[in-house]
Amino acid sequence: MKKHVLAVILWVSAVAAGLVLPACQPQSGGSLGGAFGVRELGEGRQEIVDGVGRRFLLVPEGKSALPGYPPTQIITIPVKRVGAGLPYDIGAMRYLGVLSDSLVGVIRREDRWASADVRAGIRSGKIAYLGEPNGIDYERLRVVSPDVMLTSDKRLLPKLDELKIPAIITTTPMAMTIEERLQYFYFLAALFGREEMAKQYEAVIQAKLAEVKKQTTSVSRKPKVIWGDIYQKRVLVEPMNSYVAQLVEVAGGDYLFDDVRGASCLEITLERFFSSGLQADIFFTYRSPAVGIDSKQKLITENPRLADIKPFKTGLVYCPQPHFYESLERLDDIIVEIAAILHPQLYQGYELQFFQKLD
Amino acid sequence: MPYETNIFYLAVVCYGLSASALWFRWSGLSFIFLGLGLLANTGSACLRMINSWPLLCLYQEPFLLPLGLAVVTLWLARHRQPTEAVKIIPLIALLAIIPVFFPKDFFLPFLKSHCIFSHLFLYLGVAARACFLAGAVLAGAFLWARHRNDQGQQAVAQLDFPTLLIWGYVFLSLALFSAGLWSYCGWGTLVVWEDAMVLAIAATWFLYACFLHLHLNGRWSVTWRAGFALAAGLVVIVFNYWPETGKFQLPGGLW
Amino acid sequence: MVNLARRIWNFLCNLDLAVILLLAVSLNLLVGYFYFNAYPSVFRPLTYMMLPEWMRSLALANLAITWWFFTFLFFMIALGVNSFVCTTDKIAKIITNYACYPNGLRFMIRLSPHLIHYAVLIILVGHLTLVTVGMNYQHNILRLDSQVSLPGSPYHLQLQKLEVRYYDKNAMISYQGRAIDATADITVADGNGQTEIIRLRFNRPCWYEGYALHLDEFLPTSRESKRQEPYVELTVRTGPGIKIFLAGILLFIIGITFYLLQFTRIRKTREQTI
Repeated sequence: MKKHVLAVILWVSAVAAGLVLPACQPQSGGSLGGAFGVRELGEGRQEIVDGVGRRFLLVPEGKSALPGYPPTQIITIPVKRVGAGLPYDIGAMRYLGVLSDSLVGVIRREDRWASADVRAGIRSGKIAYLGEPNGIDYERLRVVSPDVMLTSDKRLLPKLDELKIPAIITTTPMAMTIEERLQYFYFLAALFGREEMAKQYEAVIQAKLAEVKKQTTSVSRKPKVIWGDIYQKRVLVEPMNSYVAQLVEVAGGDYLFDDVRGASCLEITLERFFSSGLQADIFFTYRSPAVGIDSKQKLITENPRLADIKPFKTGLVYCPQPHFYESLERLDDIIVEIAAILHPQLYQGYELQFFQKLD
Repeated sequence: MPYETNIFYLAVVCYGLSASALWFRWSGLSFIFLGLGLLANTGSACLRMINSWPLLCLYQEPFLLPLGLAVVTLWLARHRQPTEAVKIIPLIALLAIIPVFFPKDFFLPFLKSHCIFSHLFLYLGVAARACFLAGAVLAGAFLWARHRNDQGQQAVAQLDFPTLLIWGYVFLSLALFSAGLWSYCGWGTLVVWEDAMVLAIAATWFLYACFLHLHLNGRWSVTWRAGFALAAGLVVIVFNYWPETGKFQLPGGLW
Repeated sequence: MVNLARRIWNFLCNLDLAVILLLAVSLNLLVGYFYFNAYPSVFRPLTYMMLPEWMRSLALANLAITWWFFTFLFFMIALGVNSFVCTTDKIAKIITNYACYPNGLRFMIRLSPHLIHYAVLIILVGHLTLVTVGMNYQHNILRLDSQVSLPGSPYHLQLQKLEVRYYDKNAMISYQGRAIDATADITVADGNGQTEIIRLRFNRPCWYEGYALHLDEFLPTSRESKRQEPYVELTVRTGPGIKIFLAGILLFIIGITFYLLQFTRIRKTREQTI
């Protein structure tokens, strides 16, 4: 029996090893059905999953709904009137070509938006101002009555249920990877019947990722990069599973928080931040000139401890420009810009569009 | 640097001295340093626990495992043969150095760890793995004694390595129940699918369940069982211990 | 027919089969470990979805990634049947020979390894029940100013009061002023205008009329966010799974206690022999 068992162990081990190998090379692209999954249900009906796992039934106009979905999780498509609160929702709608026709309301005042089209829309009254994140004007929302509200705020759910407005959460508990960003486009495109645009978007981004990767593989040294910030008591960083960390890696950088996994703006200890900060060549801060940060000195004044890390002594510090968070649909341009920052010798004469160097 | 980190470094030095004393065959001195290391390690662990209480610090296992192994070693020295117990000391010294250079304790505690079962899960899990690793060392010692035809050592190790694995299995079972109850209290389910570690821990439980069946059934010879225990110890290191460590960093962020 | 049944029973009542299945399950889980690490987004929804729903919507659509889960289920079922048959066979023999045991303690000690097997089976059944039977409602947001209905019931829930405890020690400076516990008073109104207040604590579910209520998230999570409108997010579950699981744990602890009594006794005898 002993020999039999041994044979079984060896056999199973060999088979297992063969079966594990595919898992070591995750494929790219396509829906896996988790957050932002889209599933065809036949006759044009689709099921979509929002960022926190809530399922919505999309029903083409004139078709009947399927059982098993609460009324506020049934959406007639194509959606014509959308309310939104997050900058990247706006960016994605712009890419899909539905922003000017479909965006009917936004959370946040006009001066807190960087995009000219949104500001103009609010000024002209075409886009309604629905209040601030901590104080939604529900009466206005009722009047505007969007077909769907895109939001990150779960607190709105009961109120929107009362108003019979489907609310879709477009943030995820874990930081979004590049894959999830692409999947998010398919998800949003399903609402507007713009699946072709999402496919085109994925093709463009994948091509650009491959191009930049090819271009930067020849570099002899990978600059060490950290992305985050120190606030009064807290240290927040981008984990390795965030799209920015992945972009840094694709652009030929060595992301030093590559063992940190979790939510976007993840809190870690000061010791860990310093351990990486003392080795980093390039530091991307979260804070932008919009909050008064336009030089290394200003950042150091805000937090003197930053003066000790390498990017502030001999390295480089970059901050996002105010429109960066509203331009995430331009991932192809962002990846080129990150590559240009990391390897200026490969992109001579490149002018920054999304980031700003702090001197 | 926080006090608890400095005290842990002190424990590492003591464990290192304990292993070094063995090199010169000063067993008595080795046990004295082991005891001091255990004291410092316990102090460091208690400080961490008190500081974060009622929440749980994450990725503490690499800091606690040397403590668990030191307790097992001293117990074996007291109740069995010191010559057998000392074989575990080099492993303790090695495992104590690893979190100094590969720490992963840089995450802040999360709110859902405010649950007695989360603490039980950590400490019972550490106890289980300490027993498994000590058992693997003794299984290795048994195989070595057999190779050298040392009958006395064989007889002792043959008795002790299954005992340690049985206790490890009991602790791991209780740790898994605690994990299930913690998950239910916090998330309303019995398994939280956030980290692949859930699968690694479950795999370890089934592996040792298999060992127990082989041991109680007696169809495999002791030599084969010792080989199994040694291999299972490697699985514990690779799939349970290593994922709890971070990437290489110089201590304390001083460089 | 009787012969065939006996042959099947004998085939299943086989310790070598148990060893092979235990190894297979273990290896299967280690294979799953790699797939989970490579594709976490496929498996994470299992935390909040019922198993059949996950299988239908995610697992079957991604069989190249989730195949190991199905083989795991197969091995587990086989192991469950094997354990049940072996244990039942042994227990039947022990009970038949009850008269041979000098006292109840000896009998219990003899029975203990088999109790552990039954306990593990009950725990597995409990787990399976929890993820397949009953309902699982996520993201029930309760506020001070609006009611939410408890699905499939006449009850309406509303947040009455939320008390948050903050971390005030100096040890973790970055944690100062952040929430470490919360207690919510929730008004439950039935269709007849009767109301009742239930108290729910973070990480401590409470049961109400067959519903298990879990406080999943809340706001404010820090003193800084105290001015924001408070809310709590509940996960609501029904089903007997947790009770079966708890019964299994209890039986396991009883079984392991008796087993360790026996084990310690045997070990002492062997030590003396050495």
